Amino acid sequence: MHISDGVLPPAIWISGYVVTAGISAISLRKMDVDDVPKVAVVTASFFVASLLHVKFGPTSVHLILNGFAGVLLGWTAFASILVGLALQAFLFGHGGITSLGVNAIMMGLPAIAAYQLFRLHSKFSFKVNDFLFGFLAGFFGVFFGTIILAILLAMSGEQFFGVAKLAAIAHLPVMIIEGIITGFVVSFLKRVKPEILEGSK
Amino acid sequence: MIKKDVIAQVLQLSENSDWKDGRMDGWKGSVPRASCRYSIPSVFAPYCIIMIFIAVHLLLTADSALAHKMMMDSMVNDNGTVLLETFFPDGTPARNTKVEVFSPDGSQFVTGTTNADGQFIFTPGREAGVWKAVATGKMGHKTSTEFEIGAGISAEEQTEALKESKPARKRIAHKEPIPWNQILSGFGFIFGISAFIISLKLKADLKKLKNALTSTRN
Repeated sequence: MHISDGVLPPAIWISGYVVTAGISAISLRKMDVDDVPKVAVVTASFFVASLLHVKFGPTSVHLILNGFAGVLLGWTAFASILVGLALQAFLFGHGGITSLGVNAIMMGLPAIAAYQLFRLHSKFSFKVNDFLFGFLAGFFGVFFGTIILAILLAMSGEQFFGVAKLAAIAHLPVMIIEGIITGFVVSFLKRVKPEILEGSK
Repeated sequence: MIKKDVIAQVLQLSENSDWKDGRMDGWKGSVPRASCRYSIPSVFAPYCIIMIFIAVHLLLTADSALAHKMMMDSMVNDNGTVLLETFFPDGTPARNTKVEVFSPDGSQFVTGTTNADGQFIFTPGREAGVWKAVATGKMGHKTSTEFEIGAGISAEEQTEALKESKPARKRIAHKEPIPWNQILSGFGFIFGISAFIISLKLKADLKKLKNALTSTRN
């Protein structure tokens, strides 16, 4: 789920860069020195995830892992995803250089949203296991991404519901796979090293 | 971040040291090993520069570096028609993709959508030159390709001419190999950037420590 160069009009991608710069600044301010190695490892996995194709459904889609990054990194996930997307654009040719800003918004904001969703678990101490909230965070990370994609493409003249339906159906397998991955990682970390999940501010 | 024993050591050292760029003169072996991490950034700086050079080199040499996520291939058939194929890097055809074909003078010649195999076939006009095809996917993908058509000759001659002019032209392999070089250079970048961030943040830490020291002194 990357938007290529030349799809969006300049007004949108330039404002995408401006918004991205703002959120990245907040994101970098919230980053602690002790978190940097963790951020680097999550960025590396986000960067490679886009090469893993999922062959179900009508089109070719790949793993995104933005919900996963959000749960592990919190606000810092935005900067991590921006770096991952820039490297994907330069090295793999996924997405584009001009559309980097809008792509960062499309993947990064859902990551933060997934993190807030995941935090509800410890906030209200629901009587369910960690796996479920990990699954929801991973699932909705991708789902919010498809919604933002539809909004962005609607701004450039496509039909909102058409794109949203198509993207959501195409990414349904990815949502489920990422939900399961995030759920397992979360429940594993809760047992082995819970401070990793609490450390993110 | 900065431990108490380190602060004690720094207090001793700060008597006769010159604080500049987070560096300290008079750094002795007696300083705890943990504080060696302050010198790590200076090791990583040249490493980052090397990684940038490698990545720039890769960018300039790799063929597929600027290819988009969706790709398109064109083939001039023996009967004079042109076959356009849209596909994704894993070889899956891109179905129902909008294709626009532009003749050499830049005007739109034909538009259409690809079928279930990601193919779109059309018969080009007689205009010789470089034709251009642009494919726009529904989920923000976009790609383009160019192909050449000879002037005023029959279809057989045309394909013959194509074969002669570009004997090495092969169909793109629709399944891309795993780009190991790009993955490795990406990892290098990520760890280089994180080392850079660590060095910046530690510098700020050291500055704070210095200010704290001078204020307690005075």
